[in-house]
Amino acid sequence: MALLKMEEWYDLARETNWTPSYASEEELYPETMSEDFGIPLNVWETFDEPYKVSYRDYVRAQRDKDVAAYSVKAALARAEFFKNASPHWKALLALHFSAVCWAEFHSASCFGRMTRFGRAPGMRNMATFGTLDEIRHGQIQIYFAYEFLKHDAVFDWCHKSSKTENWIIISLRHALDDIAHTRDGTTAGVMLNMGLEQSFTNLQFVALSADAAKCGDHSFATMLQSIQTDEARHAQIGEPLVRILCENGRKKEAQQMVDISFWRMWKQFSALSGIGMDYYTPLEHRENSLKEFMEEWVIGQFGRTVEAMGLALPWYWDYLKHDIATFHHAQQIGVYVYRATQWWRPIASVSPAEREWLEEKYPGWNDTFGKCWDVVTENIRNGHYDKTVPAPPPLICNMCHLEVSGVAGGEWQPVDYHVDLDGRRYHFCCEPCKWIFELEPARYKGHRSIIDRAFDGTIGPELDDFLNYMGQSEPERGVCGYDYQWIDGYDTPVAAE
Amino acid sequence: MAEFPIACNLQGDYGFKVIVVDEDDTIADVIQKTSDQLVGVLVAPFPPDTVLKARIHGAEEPLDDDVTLKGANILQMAALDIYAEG
Amino acid sequence: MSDTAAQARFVGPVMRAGEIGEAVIEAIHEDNTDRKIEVEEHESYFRVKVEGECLLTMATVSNILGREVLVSDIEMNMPSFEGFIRVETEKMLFLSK
Repeated sequence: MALLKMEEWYDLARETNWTPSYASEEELYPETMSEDFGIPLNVWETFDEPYKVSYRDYVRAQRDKDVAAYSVKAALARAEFFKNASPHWKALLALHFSAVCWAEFHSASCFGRMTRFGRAPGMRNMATFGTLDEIRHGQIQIYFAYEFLKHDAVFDWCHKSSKTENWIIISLRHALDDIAHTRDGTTAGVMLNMGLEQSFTNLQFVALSADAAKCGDHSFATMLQSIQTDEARHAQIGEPLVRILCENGRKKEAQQMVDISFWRMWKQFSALSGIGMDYYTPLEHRENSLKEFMEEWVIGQFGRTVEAMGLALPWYWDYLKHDIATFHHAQQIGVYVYRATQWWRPIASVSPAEREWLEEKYPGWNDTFGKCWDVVTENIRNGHYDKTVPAPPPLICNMCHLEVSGVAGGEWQPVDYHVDLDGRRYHFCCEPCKWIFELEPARYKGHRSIIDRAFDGTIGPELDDFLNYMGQSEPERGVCGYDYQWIDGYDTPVAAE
Repeated sequence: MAEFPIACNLQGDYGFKVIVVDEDDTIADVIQKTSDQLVGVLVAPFPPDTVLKARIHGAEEPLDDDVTLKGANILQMAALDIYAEG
Repeated sequence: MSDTAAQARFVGPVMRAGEIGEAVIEAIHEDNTDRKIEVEEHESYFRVKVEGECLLTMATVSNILGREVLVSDIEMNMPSFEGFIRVETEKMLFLSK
């Protein structure tokens, strides 16, 4: 039992700013690492942690969270669960762990920068806990993934992926580099917390955990929620930062930080959570569609938070409402038909019952994206497997590095935006991606997409060259997760007739 | 003769593909090369009498079938929509 | 102002289903008697939504469970929340603005 209540000593204990005498303030907080936006240090020092925690309580809570998640009984049950899991769920686990494990360590690095270069003691205090949280998230997930390695070599990519030039990894790395690694501590604090942690991690860690629980994967569900309990605390670093910026004439800058980082992260979660929820979760275990989860957690909860802080909803909010019903459906087709470029075993997830669900959740799906699947399905039915893989590569967005896509089939809507700069054409999948590029072309123009590299000679001309460049030896190239047997779902009703 | 990548979205497909053509190819050649690679793969065959046209993405008017890419001043990696006329 | 902001904002925790979660629902009803409260149930979590402001005291939760419950116990079972949070030793407060 503590002798004093936290609030009786907290304010005094966290006052760790002092007047420097051996180094100047500029040397202590170099602008590139700690932008002050012209706001004096004594104003930054008013940063008051919304979610206060003592180190004693922090350690106690984290220990208990870890004990629950790492229990031996759960580990044994998990191995058994995995052996019996469907290709749907195996694809989801492979995608989740290989995309998220290393990203957590990147977040730890970003929080480390906030811990050192945050101008307010309170901010540094919260960021210290945030750094420790993110290290835990990296460790716990790599541990869970490692457990599967003896059953499936795909999980090697949970560690390997970040060191490769695989196109999906380039996409994720470009986004994280942009918001977390190449910004000063203040900006990164707003971008990471508002653009990622208060908005989208809920989607992957709470909403997906609901699907995991329905699927019977209780330890995965518990682990996801355990992680999010940390996020819910440390993400609150964003609120006082945004308020200080707004109250001191920097609302425009704060708005832009939110608008950029939110969009960059939406594109990542559209592919990760969108495919995970609407295609890789077994049909009988889906709680909601991506669109429904987005409406609850992001358009609803996050949208209300942004406005209550005094900011406006991002200017592209109406377009977002369209994008949550389209973009990931196009990406899912690409991920399946170009499956050799994935390290996991993608699944189509468009059997008749699944199509019925997609049509119910996304009215018009059958007449749009379903039309491409009709052709793929017919080729499989006729044994023309080679025709299920397009020969030409897709066009890749020079901002999000995902496919430039629109609406397919009967409601065909081709979508492409471009910028011509210094003799080079840059393509974008949407107006917000183009808008971000145009805000700061010098920041982005030097980066070359995987397709740029394929045509500038960086990558050799053969498919093997392309896959080897992405770090994928032959056994590491994705094949249909059901070995085309999902087509049986189509043949059964025909035979019944 | 020079390799000339161009971004094409064939009507019905979900997104743009990078089609490698030749700068001396005509628009009709580009349409043919695109449909050869995508019809029956991601796009269902068009009805027999369908005439496919190409336009610069975002433009109203189709490009002339007989003009070459070079002649039409189309740059590498330009985006074309390829669609059924009428 | 958008549609979302024009509505009265409901705030409060998102809790994992379980013993603590159940106790939190009951405690919030006790701690916020004058406010409109809604509970939205999902498979593995539920949202407790209180109109305008939501108070959760450790004394009330402890009393319901018959043992001492600390803020860190709540945190372990709270993967998300709506509103702006303020945390002290003996209470959590969720504000709408």
